Amino acid sequence: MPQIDESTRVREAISLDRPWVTVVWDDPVNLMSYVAYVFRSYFGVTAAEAERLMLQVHNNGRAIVATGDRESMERHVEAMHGYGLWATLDRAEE
Amino acid sequence: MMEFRRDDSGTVSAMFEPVEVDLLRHVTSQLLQLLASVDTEDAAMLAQPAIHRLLPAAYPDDPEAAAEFRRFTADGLIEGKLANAGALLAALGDDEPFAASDPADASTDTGTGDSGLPVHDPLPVPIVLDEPQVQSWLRTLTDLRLVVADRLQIDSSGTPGLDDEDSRVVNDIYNWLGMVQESLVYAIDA
Repeated sequence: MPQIDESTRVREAISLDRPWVTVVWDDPVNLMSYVAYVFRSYFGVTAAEAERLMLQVHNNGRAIVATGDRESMERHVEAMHGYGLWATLDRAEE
Repeated sequence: MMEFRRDDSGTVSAMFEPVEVDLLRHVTSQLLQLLASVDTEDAAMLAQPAIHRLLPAAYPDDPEAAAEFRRFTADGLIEGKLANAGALLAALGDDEPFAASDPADASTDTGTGDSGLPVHDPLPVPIVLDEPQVQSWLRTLTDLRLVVADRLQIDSSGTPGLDDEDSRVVNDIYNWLGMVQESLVYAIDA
């Protein structure tokens, strides 16, 4: 199916010019200590950075916790769902 | 419950009251049943609030992409959640109830003394967790709280929408699960 291959390639080429982001949303259930722990242990950020991201989620309702290609962001979102966090994918803003 | 503490070998432990072990076993068994009942190809089921919170839409504005994401991830996520809940149950030890908390349990309880009252083991139960077990507990406690929060109709500010007698009991359980989880996080984060 060369036509499909071609269109897929074009789509992927287009997607290269704008990265994707992993967004974690505030929810009333997850504890602040747990959310910070997840950011630290999964993304390997420092305790201070994990705390900053957690507070951003808490105060702003959401935080971008990772930026990159779509496949990597889908992997992160899946991992966040495994931890019970409310995470989504989006296009990075221009 | 006494707070979780980590020893030099990395093992985390706490003393639980027998009634707390029973409670945790009971709610986790219910979570297992719920998870086992999830058909990841059943869109209506996935749309139920409690299930939807366990498997949220990865693309909130793109139903097609969200469905595609689910096709690739939902079974694995449910499998992981089942394994974690099973690990929590296993760490609680055998399933002999320490205390018959309601009449339905009492009929199956063989430990009835001469007085006709159930024989309780009053001693706290040591709960000892290695690192993989801690991870399973953290995730399962989260899943339990997500499901219970839906049952209580907890709003975005964290306030339960229901305040009948049953819901107040469930709310106590919800808060207790949070306390257990926080104690666990502090023990490994210290």
